[in-house]
Amino acid sequence: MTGIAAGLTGFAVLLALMAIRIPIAVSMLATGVVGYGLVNGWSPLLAYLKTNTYYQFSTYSLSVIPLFVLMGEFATRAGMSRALYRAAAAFLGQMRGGLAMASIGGCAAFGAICGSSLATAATMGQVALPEMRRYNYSGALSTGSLAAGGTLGILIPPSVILVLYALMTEQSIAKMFVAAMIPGVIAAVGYMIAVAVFVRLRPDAGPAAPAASWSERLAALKETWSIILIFTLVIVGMYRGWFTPTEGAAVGAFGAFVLAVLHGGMRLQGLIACLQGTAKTSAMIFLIMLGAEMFNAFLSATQTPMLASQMIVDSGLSPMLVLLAILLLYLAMGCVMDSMSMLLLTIPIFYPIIAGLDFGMNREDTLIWFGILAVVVVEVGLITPPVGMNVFVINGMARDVPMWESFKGVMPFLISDIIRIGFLIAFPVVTLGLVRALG
Amino acid sequence: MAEAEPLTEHPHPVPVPGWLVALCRWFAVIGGLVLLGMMIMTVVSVTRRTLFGAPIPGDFEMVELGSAIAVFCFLPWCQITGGNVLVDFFTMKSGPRTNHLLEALGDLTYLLIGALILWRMIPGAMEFHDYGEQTMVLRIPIWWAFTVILPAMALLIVTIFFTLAGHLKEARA
Amino acid sequence: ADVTLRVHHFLSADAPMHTEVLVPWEKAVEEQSGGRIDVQIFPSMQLGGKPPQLFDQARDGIVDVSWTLLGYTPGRFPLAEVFELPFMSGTAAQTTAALQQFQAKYLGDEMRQVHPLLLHAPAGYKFHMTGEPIDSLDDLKGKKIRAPSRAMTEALNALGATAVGMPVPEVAQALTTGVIDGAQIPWEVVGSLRVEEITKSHSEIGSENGGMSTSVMALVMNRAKYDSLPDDLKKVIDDNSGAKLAALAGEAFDRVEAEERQKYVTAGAAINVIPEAELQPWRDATQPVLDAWVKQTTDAGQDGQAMLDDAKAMLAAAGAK
Ligand code: NA
Ligand code: NA
Repeated sequence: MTGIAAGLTGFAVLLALMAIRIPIAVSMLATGVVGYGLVNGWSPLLAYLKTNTYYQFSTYSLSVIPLFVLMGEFATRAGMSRALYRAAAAFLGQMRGGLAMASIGGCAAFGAICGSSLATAATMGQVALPEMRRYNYSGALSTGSLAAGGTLGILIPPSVILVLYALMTEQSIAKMFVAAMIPGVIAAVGYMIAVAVFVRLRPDAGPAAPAASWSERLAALKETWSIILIFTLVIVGMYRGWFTPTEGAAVGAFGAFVLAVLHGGMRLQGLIACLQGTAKTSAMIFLIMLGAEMFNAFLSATQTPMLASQMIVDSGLSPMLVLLAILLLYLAMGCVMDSMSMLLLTIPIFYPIIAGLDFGMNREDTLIWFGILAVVVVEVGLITPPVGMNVFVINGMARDVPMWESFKGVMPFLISDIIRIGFLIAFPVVTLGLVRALG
Repeated sequence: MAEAEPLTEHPHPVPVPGWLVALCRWFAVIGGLVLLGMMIMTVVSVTRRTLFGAPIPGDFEMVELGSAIAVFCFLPWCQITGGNVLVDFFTMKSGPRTNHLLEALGDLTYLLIGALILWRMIPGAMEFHDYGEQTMVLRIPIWWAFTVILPAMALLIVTIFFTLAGHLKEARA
Repeated sequence: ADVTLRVHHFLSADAPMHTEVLVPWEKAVEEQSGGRIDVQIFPSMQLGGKPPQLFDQARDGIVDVSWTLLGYTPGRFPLAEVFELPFMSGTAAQTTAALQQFQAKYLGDEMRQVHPLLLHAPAGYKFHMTGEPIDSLDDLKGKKIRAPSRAMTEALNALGATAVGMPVPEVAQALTTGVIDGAQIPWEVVGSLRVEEITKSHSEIGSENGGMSTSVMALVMNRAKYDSLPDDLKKVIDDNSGAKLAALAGEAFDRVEAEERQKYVTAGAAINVIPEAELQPWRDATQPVLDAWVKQTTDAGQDGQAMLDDAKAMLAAAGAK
């Protein structure tokens, strides 16, 4: 069996395996390995497995990932999530809904260091949730703002998903990061506006906290300058040419390590805990990448990506319609699936399609723009009902808040997301402007 | 990342022998130290390059080699701590026994694939050895890395076996 | 079609190797076989794996034919490396022609696991720098230069530069950002890296469009697959491999090289030539790299010096200086 039928069968089997709790990476590996054997023959499969795993894990450009994960671990250990939240709360807390806005701001800032949405939501949740409950914020607003704020983690660079997207589509990692900056800031501002609207409709959901004095504000700011310095060094250095992305991640991890020792009082036990955390997250990511590589090798052998891309070109659909269809599919898949696995699985199929369509931009711009859109849409999946992993995580930390209330709480943020996505689609310059300006 | 674990989308915890947890933890720490070594070496190399125009020779290939060793060492720890994400949506409402049974099936699949990969990696490592493949600048024999990678893979297989047994035990209980 | 040949490589579908060599090869094989052979080319590692795996993919029958650089697996093809030594290259046509003879005489063992269709080389590698041009040996001092091979890593270090052994996908970014000051690559690759504005000065060695090193590339076929073909189809493959394909590949690479170079000339790029007369210190400085190769080959039980001299003679016979 070859052609699209084989490819679709592979997808069906993959989805069935994933639906019955087989880990996503294992589902992709199993489908990929068996499919590869069926399409290419078993002895080629056995030969392929001899060195493939080694080469997948020893790729220079991918080594950026464990280093970023390590940087996030050290930054957490350095107490940066608390410091960033406090700084934001010192400036915004006295407004109605101000602590929820501070959560968004803290998430955006911490997301800048950390690469993962779930981790951002969980870490900030531990700091901000008790504070918001203390000031009688409603369960809906406090859990909703944190779940939504967590999705900023992946958009604001550095971000593991943006690294993977850049590698898969042969784009510059630094340019992807720069392209994500303005959409990331817009997302944070949009969420803050959503909070403002929320408390205007329900004034008792987010009462004002006492205002911080200017000396308190300055003290809170002082706690954060070091991590902001590290973040700036990594991003600017990567873009301006002091180092490759992997080197930038190493420099950032080293800086965060120093902070964790000096500021967070990290000792040997703490270091070991950071290494273990890094081990768990990195292994999870690399296993998914291995599975996706195997599945995509099988899929290419069936020629599905080429045929699908040809079909779409021949169908004469307008480029915008194709783009919207892909984004809708992402939104739907995002409801049930981990965002990184989803992108690893689908980008090899979709990016040649998108690159072949005419959006009035050159190929590089088109791919950068699509990458940001895809990541944004996938992230929205983290807070959409019925399955929103970020909502689950935060809700799990607030035992007294029913799940439906948390989902109610993310609604204003979802509306803000939808407006923002429309905006990014309509005006590619928002994404590409900074890249061009710095290019 | 370290303190708060997502409560969903991960396998249920199962009882595993203490010595195995300790072993997996040590491999994770060894991999972590390799990663730390890569970090420090890279920082030194970047500093030397910026200040003196002379990076550490072979810095890129050391990162490649170290990255492979680290990731293989991380795999058993990820498995024993239930770190591999899964889709919870369709089985949320099923009872714990059903879910343990399904996760046992997942582990069985992983066990078979993992064993297949380990089995194939042995001739792969021997080819690296026999053909004398080396890194480009420092001429480090690639097969050296496999003295760590193969034991890590073997530990992964053992770990999956025990989590599989754990899920089966929980499903019967 | 009776037979499908799946061809795998790591370059993109718009690379000259793909459009100027592999596609014409596909057409020729399909046409001459009367449609009985169907060639499918998969660029960009579409069938999975990383570039260093390509040779073994053909050996193991994962694909039927693969194209790769032998230098991607350092240490694996020590004899073929002779054409990667400093000043052991000419134009693509010259080095490729010499390679055919050298392969017939010496490389049977290194290629025994596959059915080799073509060993070839691109035009000699020039220096493409982001800053000041390389006018003389002194200008190389302390420059961070991406080396194309293990031999050139040693050679560049011997010349006083700092050789950086960087994976190909990193090169464009590293040039852009100043992680390296330059790269030793042919014009054709400069074009594909899209670093027009970044590489400001270009230095050629010995003569216009001359270089000082190259890489050995290989198009290889699975042995069992070749053996399984009926005699008339074997003949089609034979008619489109070895010397005949070498001429096509050599011509194509030199043509693209000249075209890419002309683009830069037209755009007014700074191109300088280090005259042959000034190269003696370069040759002296890099002689230890050749000596090391001779010693390594002799240690492995072969007459290294005779082999090196032979390779030089073959290059000279092909017209290279
Ligand atoms: Na981030
Ligand atoms: Na969702």
